[in-house]
Amino acid sequence: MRPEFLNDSLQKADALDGSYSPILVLASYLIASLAAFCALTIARQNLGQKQNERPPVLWHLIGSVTMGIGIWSMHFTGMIAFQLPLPVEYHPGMTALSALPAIFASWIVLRLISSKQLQTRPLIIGGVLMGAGIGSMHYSGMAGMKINAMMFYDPAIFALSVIVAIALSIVSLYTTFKLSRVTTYPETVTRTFGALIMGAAVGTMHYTGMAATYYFDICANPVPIEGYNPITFGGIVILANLLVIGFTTVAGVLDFNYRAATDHASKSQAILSRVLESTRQGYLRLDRDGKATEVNAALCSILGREKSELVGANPSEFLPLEQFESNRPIFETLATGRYEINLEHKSGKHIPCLYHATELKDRNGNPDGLVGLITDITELREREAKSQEHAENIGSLLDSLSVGVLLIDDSGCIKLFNESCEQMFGFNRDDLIGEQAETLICQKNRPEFENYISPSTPRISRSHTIELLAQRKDGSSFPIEFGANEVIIDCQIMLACAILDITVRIQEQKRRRELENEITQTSKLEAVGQLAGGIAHEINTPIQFVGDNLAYLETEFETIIPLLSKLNQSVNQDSAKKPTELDASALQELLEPIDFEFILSDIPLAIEQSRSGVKDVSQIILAMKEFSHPSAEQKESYNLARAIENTITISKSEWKNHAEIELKIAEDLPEIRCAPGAINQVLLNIVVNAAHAIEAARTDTLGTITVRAFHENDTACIHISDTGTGISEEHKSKIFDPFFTTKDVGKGTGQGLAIAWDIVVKKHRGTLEVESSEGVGTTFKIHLPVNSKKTAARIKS
Amino acid sequence: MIKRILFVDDEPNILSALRRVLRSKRTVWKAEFANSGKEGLDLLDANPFDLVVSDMKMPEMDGAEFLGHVSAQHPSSIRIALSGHSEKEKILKCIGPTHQFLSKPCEHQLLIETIENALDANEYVPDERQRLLATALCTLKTPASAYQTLIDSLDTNASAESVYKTIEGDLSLTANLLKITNSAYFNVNATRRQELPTFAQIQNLGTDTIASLAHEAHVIQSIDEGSNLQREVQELSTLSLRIGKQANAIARSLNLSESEQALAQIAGSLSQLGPYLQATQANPSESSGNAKNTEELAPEKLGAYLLSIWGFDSRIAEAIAYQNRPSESRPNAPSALACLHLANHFLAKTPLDAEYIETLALPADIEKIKEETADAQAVTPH
Repeated sequence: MRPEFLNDSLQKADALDGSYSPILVLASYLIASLAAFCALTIARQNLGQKQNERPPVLWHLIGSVTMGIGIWSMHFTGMIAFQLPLPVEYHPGMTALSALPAIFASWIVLRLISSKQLQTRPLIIGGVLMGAGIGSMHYSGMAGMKINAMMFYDPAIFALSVIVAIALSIVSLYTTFKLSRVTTYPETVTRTFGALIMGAAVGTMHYTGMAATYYFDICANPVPIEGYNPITFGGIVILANLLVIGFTTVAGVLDFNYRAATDHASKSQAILSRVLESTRQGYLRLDRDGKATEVNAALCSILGREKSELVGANPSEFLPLEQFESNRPIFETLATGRYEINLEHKSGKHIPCLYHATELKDRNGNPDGLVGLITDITELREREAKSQEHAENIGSLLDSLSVGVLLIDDSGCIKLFNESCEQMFGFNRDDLIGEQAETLICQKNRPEFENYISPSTPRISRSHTIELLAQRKDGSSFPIEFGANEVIIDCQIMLACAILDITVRIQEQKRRRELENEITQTSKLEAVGQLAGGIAHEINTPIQFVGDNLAYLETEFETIIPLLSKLNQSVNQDSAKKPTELDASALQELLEPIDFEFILSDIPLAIEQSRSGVKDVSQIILAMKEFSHPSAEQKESYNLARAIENTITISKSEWKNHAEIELKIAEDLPEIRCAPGAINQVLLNIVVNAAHAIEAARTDTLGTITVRAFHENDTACIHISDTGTGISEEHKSKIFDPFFTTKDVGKGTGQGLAIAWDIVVKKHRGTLEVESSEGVGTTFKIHLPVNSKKTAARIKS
Repeated sequence: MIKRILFVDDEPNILSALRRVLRSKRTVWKAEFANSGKEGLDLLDANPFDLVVSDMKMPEMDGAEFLGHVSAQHPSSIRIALSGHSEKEKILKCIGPTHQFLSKPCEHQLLIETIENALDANEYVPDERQRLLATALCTLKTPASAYQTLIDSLDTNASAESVYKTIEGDLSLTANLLKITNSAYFNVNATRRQELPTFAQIQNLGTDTIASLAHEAHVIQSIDEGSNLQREVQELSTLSLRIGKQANAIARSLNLSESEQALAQIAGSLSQLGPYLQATQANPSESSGNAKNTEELAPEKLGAYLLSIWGFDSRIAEAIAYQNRPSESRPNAPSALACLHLANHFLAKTPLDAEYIETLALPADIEKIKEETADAQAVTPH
């Protein structure tokens, strides 16, 4: 059945006039649009599909059918709207068949607008096919029309209608496609708009086609019309429309659900993509062919490349594949596991990264590419390097310390051993790490050491250091100062120990002690030296008068000699005979120069005084001898009472002119074990100070120095009081300081009391206290321990 | 006339012993004994004493204080310290008011001799009021310039040599320091009369001692800078030094013994002491207006007296006393006196004592001696 075109035999003016029912025309347009809308809605189901997934054929089919029927309905609604003055009937077979091109065209439409990209060629081909489909539908529908008239087509308009169909199809396809993808209008609006355009395309083609149709009432052989009359046919069309509406409704409901689903999905998608864009972790999506399909900004920045350079690229272009395990296919390698790789930045710089991938499967469980996450670990590496460096620094710091540093764990094992330790002990640290720390300590000090470092020892007892004898590798020993503190290292309680080689310090202490002894000795000599002048005076005085007395005795004796000679002569020469009478006058003569009365009373006095003078001198010399006891250090049993007396004697010149001495020495004062020389010095210093204090007080009368010595609770107490100036509060705290003196230059070195304190407190474990009241006097209290056992033993023996 | 002597000592045994040994002199001396300075002052107040011998170390009032009081209140008494002190500082402390210093133990003969010598010196200056010029003296005044030079050279730690040169160039410093070295303490053998004073002894004092003395204001008193007095005493100092050198040269020229040479030297160096003393010291008795009655005193006699009570060797005092009229002394063989007399004649143009020169039979040699000793000033004596 070919369409027949107008020819010269027919005049357009002769053609039958048809009229259109405007409402139905509008309805036809709406039907076309509705169908398009429906189809588009159904087609959107495809958009929701995952990428690269085949769009469901069923949905396309339904969409195509819907739209096809819609186009078909539009056509026939348009036909019904066309009123011809002739009865019209429709051939059921042809009419039904005419739906097929429409369905085909719809298929094309849906395929095209569902595809991801719309390139020109498919667009044109699609448009042509669609236009052809619609055109075919129209003309085949027309062919199904049974009318008792001749139907002719104006060939120009016919061609135009086909061109319009194709052109509008292209326009509508393009517009619909773009609208759904490019614009930012709500999706419903774009879909409605697209549906209206499509509807317009179909409608325009139809009415253009109709404009090409001319009916002539020239039926030569009228045939009985067998078919549906328009009323029946209208019902069919209405039914078809209902079907379209039904599909549309179903599609709308589906669309609603879909939209709910896709909203959620797109929201997740949006969040995901925002996360992917904002994360600092590089993101790489490879498709199953191993092409990069997606990358995020972080990966771009790690690689220093544009996104466009990476998408679609082969990973070998930007991933150093040689750094991955190579015994498996590259995709498998990339899809699994973790790798530390060095990515090359565009600048050539190598970026250390951590690569971590997950293989993707599609819903059927088939491999669907992979997602790789790439973490820039430059900072991590730097931190590691820093902490490594830090650890090395601490190590070299520890090695640079002159103090030995040890780390001991709770089982006493050495965990760390610094260089100073190595030098101190002669051990290599490797020899000792893991060994017991006590190997460093001399045998005899080990218990003390063990106790000190034992975890059960309360921390407080480590608040001070201990001195130990340490042992070198070669077995030689040296003194150390050892201190430890608990530290927690790697969740373990350890002892951080400091070791100081105190050999030098000990030597210095020894030297200082020697020096102190020397100073003590010097100062003792000095004290004795100062006294020497006084002692000389004390000796010179008796020597003076003893000498004078001897001179006097000599003179007097010379005057007596002649008398004695005479007497001797007269007695002895005449002994043979009887003694002659003494020549009285001769005797008288001899007696003349002798002041008999005087010498009788005076010579015994002179002798007595001389003897006392000699006794004084001997006493002083004896006291000197005893006082200058050589042993300032060595302790021996010593009689304190004697010491006090000697001190008083030799210091006589110091106090004689200023004070009287009151001695109150208890009889039970025991001998004590002490260094006599040192104790003498203490007594002398204090007695001389007492004398000077009294001298400084400048009273007209003599002051008093009282020395009390007694035994009390195993202590020998010597209290030396004076009635001198006293010590001011300000000076009281300083009197035992070395070099502190209130005496004039040359009168005192300020060492006396400092040395006294040293001797009494340090060397004899006694006490030396001072009580003083300014203007009244001072009392020094020396308390020395009596070693009663030894003393008792000594007394017994 | 019996001389009155006071002994002060806190030790009664000393006093009894002194009383015993001085019994032999009881006809010439009236000795009194006091047990303390206070008692001694009481006795002095009651009766004047020609001479006082005091211990140094005594309770309450010590010897230095006591002698200080004596020098102020009884300046005519000659003051001698007799001390057992062996400390230099304590001795230097009382050096001012003390004319002589004896050290315990002291042989009684030495004590007696010392007292006798001091008392016998009265023959140089018979008038007690004139003697006062010497007895009241504690220290000879020194020209400020010489004093300053000394202090400077001491403070700047200049060489000892320059210190001694300054002392040697000044009569007062020389005399003051010789008085100190003359004290028994500085004698090696305290029981014997000491050797002749020499400059070497001053050097033996050491600069430290000299410094501590120089800084004690009471030891060295100075004469104002630029005064006529200063010029006068400087001339006397220079003259003394020259005479000392000249006398020493003459002694050598006369082939005298070494000790005589030294004696001539020191006597010459101190020859102008009398004029110096008169120039620098106002006599307290003269100010009272009694001076006119007294006979004019030859200044060299005053110098001799001062040296005598200071305990200098009697030969020095004698040489100085008779330097201008040696014939007044006991004429004898050429001695320090002769040297000093000639030196005076050569340098100070004093007239020769013709009688004396005759006695010594020197007239012919005088010109020769003068020639021989012409370069004396250039030679540094020792």
